[in-house]
Amino acid sequence: MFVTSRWPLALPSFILVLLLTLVVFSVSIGPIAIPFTASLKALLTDWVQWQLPVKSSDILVVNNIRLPRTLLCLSVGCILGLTGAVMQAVFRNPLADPGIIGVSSGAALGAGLGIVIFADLLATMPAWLQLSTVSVFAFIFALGVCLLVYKLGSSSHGSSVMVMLLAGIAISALAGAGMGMLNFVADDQSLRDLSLWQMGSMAGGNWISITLTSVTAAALLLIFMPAAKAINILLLGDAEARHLGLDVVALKKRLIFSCAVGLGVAISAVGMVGFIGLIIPHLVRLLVGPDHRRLLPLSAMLGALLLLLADMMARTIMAPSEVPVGIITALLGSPFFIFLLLQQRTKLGM
Amino acid sequence: MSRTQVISCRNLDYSIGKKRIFNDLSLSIYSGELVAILGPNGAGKSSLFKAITGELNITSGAVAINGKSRRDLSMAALAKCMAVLPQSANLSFAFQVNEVVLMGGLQAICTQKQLQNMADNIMREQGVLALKQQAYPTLSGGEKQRVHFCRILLQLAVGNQFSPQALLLDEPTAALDINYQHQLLMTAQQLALSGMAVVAVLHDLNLAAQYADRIILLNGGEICADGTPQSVLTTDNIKRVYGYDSKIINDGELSYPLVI
Repeated sequence: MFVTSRWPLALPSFILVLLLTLVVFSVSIGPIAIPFTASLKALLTDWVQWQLPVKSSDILVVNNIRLPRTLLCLSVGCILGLTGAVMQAVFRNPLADPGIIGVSSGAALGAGLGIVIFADLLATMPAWLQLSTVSVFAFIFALGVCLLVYKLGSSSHGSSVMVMLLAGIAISALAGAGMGMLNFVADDQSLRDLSLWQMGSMAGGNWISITLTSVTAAALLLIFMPAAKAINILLLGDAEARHLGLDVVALKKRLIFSCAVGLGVAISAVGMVGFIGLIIPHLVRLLVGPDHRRLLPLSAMLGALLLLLADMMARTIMAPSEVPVGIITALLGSPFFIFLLLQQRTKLGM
Repeated sequence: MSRTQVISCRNLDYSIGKKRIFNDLSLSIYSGELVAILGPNGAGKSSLFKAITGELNITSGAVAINGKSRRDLSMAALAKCMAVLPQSANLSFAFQVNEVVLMGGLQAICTQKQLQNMADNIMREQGVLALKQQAYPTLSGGEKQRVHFCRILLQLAVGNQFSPQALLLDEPTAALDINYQHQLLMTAQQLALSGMAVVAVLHDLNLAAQYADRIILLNGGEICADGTPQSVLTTDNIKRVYGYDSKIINDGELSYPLVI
């Protein structure tokens, strides 16, 4: 907190360098081992048009297979980090992660409904429209769950952790039941689509999903950043924020709506990847404090970093087969969540 | 100084379910006066306070600030002419004290540096400057209250070209030790002297007697007495409203009555 107040750009620059290094690492690992320098050369040859001595097969593997997946990790990680930070602010509660309060499972159910019910219609669409349509379904359900949990768990005094978490359990169970039904009624092709997607994997990264998720990530940053100061004030409580001249209802509507769009798109593109939105804002607060003007951009960057790291682990720990990345983030996130719960216990004097 | 009406409440009705909290309540608060609202528990003090601040939806009636209906004023316009110190504000995220105080400057149009100077001056006057870099959640209840008071003072300072302004304090002294109780009310008194309309919900009759220009005594949602401390704080009124047999001392050395 003190280092960054003196050199405000030190930490973001450091993370950026780390991120770029990881990108090169990420494209160098896989069934065909390509050394770090060769990967870097392959990237530069294709993107900066430097004519460097590099094997054409390396260029092909790096740019056509591994880079899309890496970029998808970055944009989805950005979305998850950002929405996590904003939802914790809207709920005024550090445990308000989209996965924990049921928003992710709601979005997943929405996407699943889209895949199964409109299977025939989707098959006739071009690929970009397929993903967009599924995203819209996921968004509608994400928004519905957000509003429901918010209404259930919040009052003018803030939000109740207990009600929020219980609502999350109930909604996740309901969404799970819905998902089970979908698996049951789905025909062979949609069942395959559904189960592949449900596992949460970055393997489906293609330029369509990258474009959709990165445009969404950029749009979220553009919406959230100008509101960062107002989001800080939201943390004082609704009444206090209103007394300071903030249109609380309008701001919260805008934030919840944007988060639901972001999660809808992210979950449609990669399936359920939990805990990034919970862990990242906490880490960033430890580093730079709770001011959203610093918290939001750093959450986006670190979200990207963590998801990329998790995906690299997913690809390597059981190579040549691949572990769904959702399992890795859950393995990292669950202990962290328990740690946060313990902290809350101490606060409540338990 | 010419007195202008800053807050006006006309025929306020408010009930929760079938329970009537107040009925046909009207009052005006003028610039340059510090008005204390007193009354026993459940008298409707907090409800009246929240009706003025807009946190509570009154059943009927109208609240006007500087002659304009509160409903017609935008949040930003209202924030420039009215500041509210809540009874307690909880903020569980680890902002620094300085950041919390600066939140009061949301409507500021000056530079960040000017705003910081204003905030520093206010923190210095209120004895909060030493806490400037501390994390808000680590403060004691009284310290938190003083930080919020600084935030409110910055809000008023930022909006002061839009005078006359209103300052509303909801039991501002509850968490404070005796020194800061007096310091806070002295600041409120100075603000009233400078032309602000100050309303404070208080529990301590003697603090009210010492600092208020006018006391409104509420009971059962009705105004029982409204006037100077001498005229309102009488043994009869206190017996009638609180059911307590008190003794009033009008000491020659004090300019206000002392209730024991």
